[in-house]
Amino acid sequence: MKKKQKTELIKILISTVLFIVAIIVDKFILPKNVSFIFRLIPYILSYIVVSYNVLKNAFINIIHGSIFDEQFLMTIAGIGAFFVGEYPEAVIIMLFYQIGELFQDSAVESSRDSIKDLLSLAPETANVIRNGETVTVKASDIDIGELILVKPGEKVPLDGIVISGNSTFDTSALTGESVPVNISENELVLSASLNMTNAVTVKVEKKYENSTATLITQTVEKAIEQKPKVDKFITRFAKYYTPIVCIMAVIVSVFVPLVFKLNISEWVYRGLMLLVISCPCALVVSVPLGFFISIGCAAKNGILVKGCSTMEIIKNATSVYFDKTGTLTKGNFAVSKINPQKIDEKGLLSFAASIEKYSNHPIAKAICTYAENTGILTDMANELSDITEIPGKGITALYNEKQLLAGNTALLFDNGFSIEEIKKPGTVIHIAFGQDYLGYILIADEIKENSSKAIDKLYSLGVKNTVMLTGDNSLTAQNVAKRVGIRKVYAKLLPDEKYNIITDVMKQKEQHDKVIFVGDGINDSPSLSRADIGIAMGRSGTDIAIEVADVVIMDDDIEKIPYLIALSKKTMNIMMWNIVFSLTIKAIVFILSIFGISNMWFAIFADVGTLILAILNTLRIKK
Amino acid sequence: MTIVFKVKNLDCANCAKKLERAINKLKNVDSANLVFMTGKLIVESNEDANVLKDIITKTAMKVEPEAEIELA
Repeated sequence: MKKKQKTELIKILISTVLFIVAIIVDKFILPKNVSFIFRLIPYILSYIVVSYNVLKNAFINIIHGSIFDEQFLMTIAGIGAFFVGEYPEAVIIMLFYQIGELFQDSAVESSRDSIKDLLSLAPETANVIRNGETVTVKASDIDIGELILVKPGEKVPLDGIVISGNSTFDTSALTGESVPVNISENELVLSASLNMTNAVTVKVEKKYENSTATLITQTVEKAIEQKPKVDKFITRFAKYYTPIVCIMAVIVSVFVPLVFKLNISEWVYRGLMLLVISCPCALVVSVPLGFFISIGCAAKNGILVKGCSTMEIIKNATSVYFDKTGTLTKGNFAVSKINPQKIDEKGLLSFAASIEKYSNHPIAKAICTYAENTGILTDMANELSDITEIPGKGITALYNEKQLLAGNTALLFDNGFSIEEIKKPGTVIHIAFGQDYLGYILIADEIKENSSKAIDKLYSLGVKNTVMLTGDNSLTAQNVAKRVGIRKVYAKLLPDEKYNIITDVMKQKEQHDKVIFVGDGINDSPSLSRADIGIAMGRSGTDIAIEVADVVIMDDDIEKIPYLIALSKKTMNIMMWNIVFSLTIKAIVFILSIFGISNMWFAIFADVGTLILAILNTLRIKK
Repeated sequence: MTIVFKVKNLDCANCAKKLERAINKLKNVDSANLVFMTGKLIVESNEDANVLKDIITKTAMKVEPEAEIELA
């Protein structure tokens, strides 16, 4: 709690004590026939303690001609209550008004602090090694290519490559992922990663203003500055609400009793109740506070949402279009099937890995990695000769003066083998040695472990269409789609065909239904910006894709898409509930007050009670 | 031109709205966006920043006297 809030709290407590004393004096100690002055004084003391500042501000405001000011209206309500003889009510109005304000202040303050923590991702200083000495300078003064030292317990200030040492890093501030990662020499380390074990030297790759941590901070700040539809509605509403209620209050307390010759203090009391409910604060605060908390929540989980409007509409997503490689699949190739003939699996792999060692093709690398991981010996690689790589077909070599082949059907066919086309998703590598066909190895892109779980969750959140758009062949595409539960596939697409599909969908859909496109490549960026919501993968994603997207998922985990939709639903539900609830309560109290059925306690509840409930409700978004 | 101010002592969300409306009405201001949660006031205007600060401070005195306006 800040100093200002503490003083307010102390004032509220003192005033409460004085108020209780005043009630005891009034109801139990003073005889019935004593002058009202004696009863009034203790109440006034309590009133002044709690409302000194409000009275002062109200006075300043009225000098400046600001009559619809909340503090001024509360002052009028309080003083009015004294005049009509409702002393306890007069104090209570101000007491509760201040409690409400204090509550709002601390809720807003604590949310601000938690976001501030979240946004101060990277340290502002760095230990830079210059002329062999380590000096601490401002991170923003460090140039690309300089060396910085990051000790255990410190956060990495700038994006860079580890050039000496290796250590374990906690990257949860960036990705929301709590499992630490090992980063060794020549690997990229992002700013805001927390070094957990050993000191490392990092060669700076990006200036402070372009480092990941800075970009995240700026993105979140920008997001909060955007005013979504619901905020515009509230703004318009608030503009008319207070003046209308105040004019009604004047009519009720002055004109009605004068014109119809009714009891003036009875009608003034009714008018005062209207003044008490004249601030639309409960409504107005829940919108910015709600977006602030939910965008902060998303950021904490490694999801960058670039604007409040995205948070506002993503709950209405009915169609999700996915790019395949790097989005649903990991984008790296791995051995998915080994089919040996006339030889065992190990033997086949040993042949394959030995020859593929000489190729740099991603598929060759996948075979070598698999062999290495399963402990297959590739000693024969050293005994190979006449190694020839044939682009688009495969690789050939001589071993023990016999020909060794690794490649596709065309390569085998060229060398006199007649084999059947293998109808399996992925890329097939056939192996032959001498006159013998030894079998094939199937290489496929790995599906992300939680892709199918993510798709399932999307269905349960009301998404009806899931579609895959890919440039890959339809067999592979169909297989991935089937395994993750995607309902429709467009394969063999050229980049602009993807965009055309999204454009058509955007034209045909209902206004209310929202379309999400999820992708990562350069060729995805037109679709990312054309869809209602473009979601880019932060790690595998290209800079341009990340730039045009509305949402960036820092660690490429697509399960965060359903999380975000659920968060949006929760946020908007809570916000709507707050708006409906506080409007209803105020409308009821408004009508009851005019007809004299309500009393001041109801009015105070409608004002402060709804404010506190709305704030408490909004804070639920965090959970 | 975009000029950014920091607004301190904003009492409530509705007060921020009122202040934002009042600043938007100013002749020398094209548009104003006051972010309640961060207290950031983003103004589009061709006016000199310091002159603008004085004008906005004067306006703030009328609608929200407690608020303090600073150049960010």
